[in-house]
Amino acid sequence: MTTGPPAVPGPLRRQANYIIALFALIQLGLVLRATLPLPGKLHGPWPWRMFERRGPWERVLRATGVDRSGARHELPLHRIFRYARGMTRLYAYHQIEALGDPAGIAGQSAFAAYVARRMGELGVDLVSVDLRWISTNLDTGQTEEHPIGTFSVGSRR
Amino acid sequence: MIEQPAAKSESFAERAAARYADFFFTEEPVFAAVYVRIALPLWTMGFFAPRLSYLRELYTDRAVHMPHPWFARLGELPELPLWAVWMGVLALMLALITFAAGYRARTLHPVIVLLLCYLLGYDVSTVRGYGQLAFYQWLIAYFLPYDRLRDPSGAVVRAPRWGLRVAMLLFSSVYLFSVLAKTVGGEGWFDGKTLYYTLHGHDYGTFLLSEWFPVSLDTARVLGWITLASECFVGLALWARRTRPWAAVVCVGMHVTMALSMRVSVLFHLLMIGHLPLFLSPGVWERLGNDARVTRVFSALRRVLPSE
Repeated sequence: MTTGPPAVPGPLRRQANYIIALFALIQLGLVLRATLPLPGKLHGPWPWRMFERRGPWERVLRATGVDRSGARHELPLHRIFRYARGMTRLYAYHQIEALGDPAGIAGQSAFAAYVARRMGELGVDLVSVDLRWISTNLDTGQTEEHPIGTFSVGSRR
Repeated sequence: MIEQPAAKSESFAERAAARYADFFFTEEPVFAAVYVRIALPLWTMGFFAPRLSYLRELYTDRAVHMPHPWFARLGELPELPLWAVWMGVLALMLALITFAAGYRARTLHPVIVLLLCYLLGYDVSTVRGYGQLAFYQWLIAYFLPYDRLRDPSGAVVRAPRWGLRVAMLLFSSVYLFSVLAKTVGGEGWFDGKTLYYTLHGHDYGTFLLSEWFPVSLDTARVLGWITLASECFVGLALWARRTRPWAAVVCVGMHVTMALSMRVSVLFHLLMIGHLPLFLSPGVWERLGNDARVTRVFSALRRVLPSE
């Protein structure tokens, strides 16, 4: 009683077939893109990947500012960045690719200028900002520092 | 004797065409489509509600401008000021409520998609995972016959189910692709290491169950295999009538377990579990429609509210 014979008029059915075909082609394309050894950006990761790999290292960003008197301040990134993804403690800066890319100096510099400006709003004027990732091994507790760079920010504000 | 193979092949093609037509173009009552019209905007409002306090951080005052890669490739749109973002979000909320109520839903649908394009594309927290799935479902939902549940005579409207089938296929593909991403594209799932470090890490783990009962690597290995098997089972078994209830139970169980042990947004679990009613047969929808008081209240409201 719940189903019946197919009853879609010709032109509408043709359009529906095109959309179904497009959907199927996209799915096929995603498989080929992930499996074939295609050059450059033609090759891509599997779609809908969630927790596809995870190592023992976890990292947090540490930003340290130097003010005009030379005093060093650890910047409260949790106050500067408020929005965290879902129920995680992953803030917007975790997704800034430049912070993990040695060649992304422009992005890193822009990020340093941004946190310096936000610190200025909190009443601390900085002349430079040092950025580094602190990695912690979940098995051993060992920590490693990975400097991103030190950026002059005094003239930017 | 010579013609037998050709006849066989033709009959196979005919059978395949008939199966294809049955799968996509059979007419059925539009309960599921109307469910999507109500559930998807409600979920989308839930997605944007927690963002309201952070619109400045998310859309205007950003450290590094990072539009969605699709926007970057298309040459980018101008970045809107905060007041315009607020207008956009409020317009979206209003459109979603109106859409869910079924008032001019077909007209509002492209407006909602355009607003989502900007709000998801220019969000500093690049959309992925469940946000992306919801956006694709908004695109597919345009092809659902959600406009009205009953015709003027009071009978439930029947329409071809191809749009619904595409939405269901997309949902299944998420689980199946996820298994491929973990096993073929990823690593650490067969030996349990990925799940072990996810549950022990501070980014997603050490949360409720994973904090109270830390798992060993051996347990994580077993849980990893169960996860892979569950995802495969949900992706495939929802399509067969006999296994569908079990697949739904596994799906709900998997998401409840994840919600109680990992720092993944409840919105993700709600979106995935919220897809399960799409797999209900029209007969079950009909019984629910007749039995559920909520539906009666909703029908009464529909009679009171102005219609198109």
